[in-house]
Amino acid sequence: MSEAEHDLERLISRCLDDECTPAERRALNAQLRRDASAAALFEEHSALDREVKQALSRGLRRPVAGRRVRSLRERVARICVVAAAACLALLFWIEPDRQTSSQHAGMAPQSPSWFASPPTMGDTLIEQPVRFDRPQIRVGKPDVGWILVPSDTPGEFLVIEVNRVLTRTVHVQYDF
Amino acid sequence: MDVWGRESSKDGMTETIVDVEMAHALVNEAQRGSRPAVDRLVRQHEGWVRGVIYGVTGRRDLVDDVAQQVWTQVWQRLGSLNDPRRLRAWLYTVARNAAIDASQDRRRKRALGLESVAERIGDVQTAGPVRLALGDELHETLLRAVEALPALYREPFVLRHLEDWSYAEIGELLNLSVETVETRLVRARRLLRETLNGKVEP
Repeated sequence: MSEAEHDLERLISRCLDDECTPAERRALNAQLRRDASAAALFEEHSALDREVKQALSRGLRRPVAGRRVRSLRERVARICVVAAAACLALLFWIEPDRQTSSQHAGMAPQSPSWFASPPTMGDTLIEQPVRFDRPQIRVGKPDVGWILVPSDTPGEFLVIEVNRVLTRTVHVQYDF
Repeated sequence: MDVWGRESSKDGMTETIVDVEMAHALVNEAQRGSRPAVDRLVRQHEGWVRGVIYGVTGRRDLVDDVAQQVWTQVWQRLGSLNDPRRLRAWLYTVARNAAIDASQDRRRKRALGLESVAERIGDVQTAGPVRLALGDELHETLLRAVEALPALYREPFVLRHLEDWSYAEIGELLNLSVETVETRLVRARRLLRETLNGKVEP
C-alpha cells in the first residue's frame, strides 16, 4: 500500500468518525469526485461502519441491571430493614422510659426493658389505721416459739408457732 | 448544528459543568446506598462497560456474565471510590480486569476440557447456525470479523462503533493519545475490510 493510499485511508477514517476538520472534509470530497477508486473505498468503509454499528448494537445491547445485581440489591435491602429494626429495638432497650404505648403504661417504671417480661403483680398492700398499740409478744422454748399477733379486737390474738422445720398458724386465741 | 453535525450551544460549557456536578451527585448518592442512584449509574454506563468487556474478550457469550460480575463488584466496592471524577476510569479498570479474568478462566477450562455443556452450547449459539437462520448472516459475519481483530484494535473500535465516542474520550479511557487511537482505528478498519473481502456491499 502506497503512502497516498495510507493517507486516504486515514482521512476516510477521520471523516467517518467525525473527527476531521472542515478543510479535510473538503479535501476528501474533492478527491472522491475526481478519483473513482477513492470513492469506492470510501463507500466500502462507510457501509462497513454502518453495518458494524448495527451488528454491535444488536449483538451486545441488553436490558440494564442483570438479575444477579437486582437480587443482590434485594438482599442488601432486606438486611437493611432487619438492621434498622434491630437498631430501634436497641434504642428501646437502652431507654425503656421513652415508651409511650398505653399498653405498657401500667408497667413499673424500673422495668429493665421494653422486651422484658412484665413484672408479677402482687397483692396491693393497703395501710390500715391501728386503733391500739400491738404488743410484741413472743413466747419461746429452745426448739419452738410462738408469735402472738394481736388483732383489732382487744384480747384476740393470732398464734403462730415457729420451730426449726416449719412455721404454721396454730390457732386464734381469744383470751389468755 | 456545527460543521461536523454536532449540536452546538452557546451555553455548552455551563451544560458540561452541570453534567459533571450531576454525575458527582449521582455517585455520592449511590455510595450512600441509594438504589435508584445505582440503577441510574448502571443505565448510564452499562453500554460502554459491555463494549469494554467485548473488546477485551472478543466473545459475546462472556459479555452478560462478566457484566453482571462487574456490576456486582461495583455495588460492593463503590464506597472505595474516593474521587467521583475517576468513576469512568475506575469502572474501566474493574471491567477490564473482570474481562481478562473471565478470558483466562475460559482458556484454562478449555485447555483442561472442563468447559460446561452450557458454555459449549453458548459457543454454538453465538457462532452457529441458530443465528444465521434468523437472517443475521451478515451481522454474524461482521461480528466474527470484529472478534478476530487483535484486542489492541478491537477495544477502541468497539467503543467507537458501539458508543460513538470521540477519539479523545476513547484515549482518556484507554490511557492513549488521540493519535494512537486514530492509528488503531485505521488499522482495525483495514483489517476488517481485508477479512471481509467485499462481503459488505456499499
